[in-house]
Amino acid sequence: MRWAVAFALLAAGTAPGEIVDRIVATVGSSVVTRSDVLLHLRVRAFLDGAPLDLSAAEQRKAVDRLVEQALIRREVELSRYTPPDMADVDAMVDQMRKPRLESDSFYQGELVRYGITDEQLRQAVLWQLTLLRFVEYRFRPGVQVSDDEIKTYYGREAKATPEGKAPPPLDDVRDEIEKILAGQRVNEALNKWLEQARSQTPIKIIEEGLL
Amino acid sequence: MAIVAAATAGGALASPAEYEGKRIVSVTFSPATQPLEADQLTRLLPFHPNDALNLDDVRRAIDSLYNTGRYLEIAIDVAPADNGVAVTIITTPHFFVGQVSVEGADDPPSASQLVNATKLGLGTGFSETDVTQASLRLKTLLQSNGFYDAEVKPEISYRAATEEADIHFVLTLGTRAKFSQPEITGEAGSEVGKISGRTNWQKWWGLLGWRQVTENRVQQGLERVRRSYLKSDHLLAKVQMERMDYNPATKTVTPHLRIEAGPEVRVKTEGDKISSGHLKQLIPVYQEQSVDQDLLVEGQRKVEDFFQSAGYFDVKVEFRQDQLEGGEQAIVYTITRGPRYKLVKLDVQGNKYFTNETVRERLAVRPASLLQYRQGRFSLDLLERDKDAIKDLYNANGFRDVKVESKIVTGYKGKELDLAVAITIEEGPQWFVSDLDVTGVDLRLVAVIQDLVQSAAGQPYSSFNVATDRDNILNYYFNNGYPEARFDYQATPGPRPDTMSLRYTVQEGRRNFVRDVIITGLKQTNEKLVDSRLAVAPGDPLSQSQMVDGQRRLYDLGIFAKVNMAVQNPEGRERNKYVLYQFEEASRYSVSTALGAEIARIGGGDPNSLQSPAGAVGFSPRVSLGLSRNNFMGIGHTIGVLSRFSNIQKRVALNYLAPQFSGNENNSLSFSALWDDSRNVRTFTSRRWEGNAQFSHRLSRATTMQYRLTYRRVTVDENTLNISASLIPLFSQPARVGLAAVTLIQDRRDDPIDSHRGYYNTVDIGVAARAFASQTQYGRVVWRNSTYYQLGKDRVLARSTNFGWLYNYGTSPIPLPERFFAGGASSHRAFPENQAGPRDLTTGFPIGGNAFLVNSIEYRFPLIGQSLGGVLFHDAGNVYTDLNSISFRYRQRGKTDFDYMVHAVGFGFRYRTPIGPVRLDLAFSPNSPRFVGYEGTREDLLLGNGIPNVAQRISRFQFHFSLGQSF
Repeated sequence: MRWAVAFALLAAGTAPGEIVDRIVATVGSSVVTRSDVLLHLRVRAFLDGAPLDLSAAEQRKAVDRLVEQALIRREVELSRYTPPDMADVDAMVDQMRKPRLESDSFYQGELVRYGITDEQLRQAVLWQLTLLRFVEYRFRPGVQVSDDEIKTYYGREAKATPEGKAPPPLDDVRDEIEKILAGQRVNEALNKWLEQARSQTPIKIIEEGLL
Repeated sequence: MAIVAAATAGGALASPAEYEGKRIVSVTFSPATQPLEADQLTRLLPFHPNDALNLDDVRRAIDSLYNTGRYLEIAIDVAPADNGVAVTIITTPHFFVGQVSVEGADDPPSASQLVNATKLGLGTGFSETDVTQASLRLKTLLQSNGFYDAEVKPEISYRAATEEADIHFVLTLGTRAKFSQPEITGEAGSEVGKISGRTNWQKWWGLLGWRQVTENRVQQGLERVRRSYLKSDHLLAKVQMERMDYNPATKTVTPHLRIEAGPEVRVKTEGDKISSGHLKQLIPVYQEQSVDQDLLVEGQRKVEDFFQSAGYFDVKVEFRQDQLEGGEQAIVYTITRGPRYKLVKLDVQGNKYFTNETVRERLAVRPASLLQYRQGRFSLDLLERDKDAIKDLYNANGFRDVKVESKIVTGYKGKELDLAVAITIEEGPQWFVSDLDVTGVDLRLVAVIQDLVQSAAGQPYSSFNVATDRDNILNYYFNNGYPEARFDYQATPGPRPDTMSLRYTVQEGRRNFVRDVIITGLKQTNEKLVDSRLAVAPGDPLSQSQMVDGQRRLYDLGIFAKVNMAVQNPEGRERNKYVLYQFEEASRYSVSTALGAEIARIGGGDPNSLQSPAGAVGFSPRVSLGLSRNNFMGIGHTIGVLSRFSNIQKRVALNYLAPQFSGNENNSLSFSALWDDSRNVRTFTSRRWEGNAQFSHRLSRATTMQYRLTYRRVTVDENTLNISASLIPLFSQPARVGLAAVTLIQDRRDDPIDSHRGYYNTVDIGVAARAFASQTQYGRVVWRNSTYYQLGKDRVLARSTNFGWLYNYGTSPIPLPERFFAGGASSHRAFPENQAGPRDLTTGFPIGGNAFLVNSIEYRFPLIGQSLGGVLFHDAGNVYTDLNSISFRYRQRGKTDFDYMVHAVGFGFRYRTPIGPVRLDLAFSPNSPRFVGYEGTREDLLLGNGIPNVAQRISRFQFHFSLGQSF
């Protein structure tokens, strides 16, 4: 677009410092900024206890995830789901800190090392809980698992049991199989919904913003 | 965007934190000219000079700016400056769709269709991808209309000041392709050889080759083929266009049709007959071209309803599907209609709050009546709907616990086939609003909102009223610039029994205002004309109703084919918005032609003959031609010429109309010049040259004043005057009439074409005086008062009184054409057209009078079904010699006495049509005037060769055929 290039030229000529934040993707009327991407990667690495990787490839993957989250966030706002309690967030953070981050000083040090604050972490956890609740309320009620499907799954897994080792009785694992199958269905439903939401929402990724 | 990227590439990821907490020295935008006004930008930004920089605020700033919808990209740059940092916000503006136009169209498709096909909505966000998509859509539309070689080239021009992108598509169409022999695939059955002919894609059965391809022709061709299968009972036939292959060498298209004729499906009835026409209307299988259980059940229900509405209330209908030999299917409806009942009584009881009349108005079930419903109108379905209607009525008035029961009694009063229906209403208590609390409303609006509320304390409580309050309140907010206003309510039991306490919560949300009004697309029209009709201006609250009001006023000018209206950037969260009006001007010339005829007592043989002074049945064909130049000089005025030619009238009129004169939609100004040569009064032929100017001002919705100045030169052709020779010199003098007149019109009818309620008054007062250069001097008053009363649901009592008086204060007689004439379909129905009042004592021809009084009363009622109605009427009155001669006397004193009241009673039919009722009135006048005439020609009269004193009488029986009610 002619105007974009013209304004960009102008911007380059007049901006002497550095860009502290900018849009890297737009999802309908929402934006994903570079600061969102970096925070997302930092929190993710912190929660996984993994080394911080802010490479362009990781940033690009993070943008895709944030675009999906923006779609869900819009749906959550429109549908007025009840948000989780902060007490739930505290409980989850406490659980997460065990055992690796139980010491306060170590916890604070790790937060600094990953470049995030306690508040940012708690907000990220709050959002994850919201996300889980949304998926549970929105897609779980529509999922039905029949007895035949449980038996088929059990049969398939039983065949894969190493020779000489007897598979557990079906009744012992029935609930677990049901949970697995229901989880798969919920994921399928979520993916289908995301695909539909993507097709109905104008989404634009500004690749240059990630450099 | 590569440059912005390059500019940012050098920034270390951890470095933004270095600026956290530093003092902001300056906040600037790049580019300096921004799509939002400076005060808005300041309001939107969460940081300002001298604040400490906070990176969360930077993120919020991006959100706020992007949410305005005015930006595509935003980046925030920070650079070290004296004792702090300088913040630069780098933006790329978002453009919006402005004018979309097409050049080089060849209808079909029309330019309008093409613009619509682009799906580029006025004021919506613009992107070049959308333009590419639009070009593809145009190509598809052009191809479906035979333009397979068409090229579409979009030209985009940007208007930076208003962030609009105008898109102009240049079309190079090439030659429109023609059809060629269709290829048929599938099981088309025995009809395959006839399909090509049925498409009508050939000219004159192929003698003149193939027609050009248009989308309409393709669809019509397919529909014709489909119908041909339906006719041969292939109700499940599928006819589809698979593809159309274009041959660029021959510029022809080969349509590939896939046809599955399917089996023959016959729909039959057993046990009783239904005409095939009715059956096709009742059984949805015919319309849907599909057979399934749901459609068959729906057909069953409709057949039952059909019989029930004819009085067979016990009818039983069943259906079955039979497979016949040769793959045929039969759908058989078995009808056991049972006895034919008559609904003789419909009783409504238990109602105290509402009168019987109010309840019955809502009922569709009707007891039998002599003419309209011979068996009554009843079915179980109708009864259930009526019960629901009664419940709704009570619910809306606070009776939340109302119960409505019905009982059907057969063998009413010992008559086996008589039926009675009793509807019993148990009203229950009426609930009231104990108190109403409205929160969230701006203090300045509290009084306004309270005026809109129906559910105030002490008023009946109903969810219907609450819903009405919600609609009224939200409409008020939406129309005053609050697009996000929300309304919630809570109803809790009140402190007293049967009361509810209400709480309305309003969230007003942000308010939008008009930033500017942008007008595009005007070619001939003066922009000032458009400006003066708009109801929104910069700074006003953004009101959808005001915008639509302006659009309506612009359409009312009659000079625009399309007035497209939109808010730019509708979803964006910006305070001030552009309102866009895009115009497509209508054709500047319009031609009208009409053919008609009149059959009435307007004849009477040779114009020179003095026979039949009261007229004889005659026929007069009529042709009208008109040419108008709309939007004259680009100011919305119309100039036109209208002519009418018939045996009895020749007329040419030149009109100039300035509607919504001086920008006021209540005013109009018109000028007209007229030449008229008519013999609508059988006594003479008059010629008129007339010019008049009229200013019309609407005082209120119902009341209009008209001020008129008229000049006319009236000439009576002395060779056509059928009056005593001695009077000819007196009445054949040409006269110039200068008349100033004022008319008051009050119209409070519910429907001017077929009124049921209300009244209509007109008073016209005029003076012809020397002061207005008139050669004749008279004063003129014409008054009409019509009232309409609805009796029950569909009966009307209508009355109209007409009075007129001419006062001659000059020395010469008032010219014949200026006098009052009356009689005819829309006047006094005892008389043929213009035959009432005084007559020449020798020839018996009407000579008009100086006063008239006619009163008409009509009782209008339904006759058969919904379309045919009947009228009983009584007309009384006459045209009188002068005011003092007005008399209510019934008897005519002699053959020279015309100053008495003539009566007519009669019966009429009204057949309802979309353009008003078609009318036939048959009138009988017991005291129609007797008079003497002259047997012979005008020459005989002059020479005294004819037979004088021949007894004549206006026929006591008159018929009138016309359109519209008589008044």
